[in-house]
Amino acid sequence: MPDVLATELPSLLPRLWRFALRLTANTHDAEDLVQRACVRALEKRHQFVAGTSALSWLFSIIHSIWLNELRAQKLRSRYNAPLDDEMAETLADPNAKDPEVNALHRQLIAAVDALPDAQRSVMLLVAAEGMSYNEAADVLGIPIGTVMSRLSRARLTIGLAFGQPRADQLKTKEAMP
Amino acid sequence: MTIDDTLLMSYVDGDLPAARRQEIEAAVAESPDLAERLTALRASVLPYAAAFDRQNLPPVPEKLATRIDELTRVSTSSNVIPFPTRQWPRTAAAFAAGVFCFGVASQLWFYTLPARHTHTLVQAVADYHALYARETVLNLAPDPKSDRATLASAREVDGLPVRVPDLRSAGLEFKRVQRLRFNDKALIQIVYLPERGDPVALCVTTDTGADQSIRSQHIGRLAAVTWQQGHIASVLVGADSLLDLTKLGERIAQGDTPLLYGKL
Repeated sequence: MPDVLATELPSLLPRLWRFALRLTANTHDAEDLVQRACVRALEKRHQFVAGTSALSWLFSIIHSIWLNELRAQKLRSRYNAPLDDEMAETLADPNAKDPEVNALHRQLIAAVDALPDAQRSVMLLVAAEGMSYNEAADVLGIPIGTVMSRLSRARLTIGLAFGQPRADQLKTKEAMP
Repeated sequence: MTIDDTLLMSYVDGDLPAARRQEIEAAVAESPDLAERLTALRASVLPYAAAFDRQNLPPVPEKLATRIDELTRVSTSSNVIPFPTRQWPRTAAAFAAGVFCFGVASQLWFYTLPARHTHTLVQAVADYHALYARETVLNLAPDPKSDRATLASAREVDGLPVRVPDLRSAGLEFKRVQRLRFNDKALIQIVYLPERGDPVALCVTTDTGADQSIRSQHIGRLAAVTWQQGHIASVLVGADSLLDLTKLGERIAQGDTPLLYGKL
């Protein structure tokens, strides 16, 4: 079998890292998660179908390990420490031109982070990683209807929290040159 | 027509045809509850991508990048490939089944360790073991059912009566047993985890050669102890650490350890 996975793995590492970091909200757990996922992927690389997305496959491994091993055992759980110190210090973007937009972005990320895990995973894949509903369904191993259902519930929660006036304000800010 | 939040979301996102949109608009006009939910979903149209793009996350830790480079390099050089006669569902969804899928796969699937000219059994085992870090097996949940099935397959299919030494007296916790393949023969890998440091593995396979006493060697950062008894070759491999693998190998070879899973 051609070693596509081993070739692509290093270049995909930044995206694997970000996904793991957002899932765990903890740098130590994210590092553990990515390392485990890479070992697992290399062990199981015969299951990877050439011509399909290595990123989606690796995301599915990361999510599976997080769901079944890390989260289940609550190692340095996000329930105990919502954000570790390193992440909390770097959440604010010092290069943002508009502090108000920056603040709203942070509130938006916090709103996603506060969602139940099943909804949060879908939001991370669709909203943060830009995946289609189909791709997210593949990663999570669930039907596309379930992805849409979780997404709609997540957005309902966020929409209720943000409210129309704030959304309009943010969109106006974003549209400004 | 039942209008749920999924349909309302599709309406808000402009993913519905005109006829369907009109149906929803008519239903919303008649239902304050639907109107309220529609308002909330409209308010959820927010710049998520921009927010996440601008999230200033810590960079990939240098030691993680180094570790992944090592893993890919070692895995490429050791060329661990599947046994060609077996098939397994090749979908991301199957993998998302998680531990269950992993456990079942470990019973059914063989990996082939390479048998290149430069690869002896001990070299192949060491190359494969180099893939393992402590984190690889640290949180593996005990799976006696899977372990027994693997051992039964080794005995009944491969003709390899494997005994699993209980090495707790040496500070090693049993984690997992797997079937691998080397030189077109089954190779059973039994993984243990010490209280500190990286895993230790005992690998056994059949070999028609003469009995050999304990031999120790170093392969990279790993220590390996080999011996052969009654057409069964054994390799004990682990990081060259405080653990005396040679002494441990002698105990295992002499049967001076209790057994897990009876005498399967």
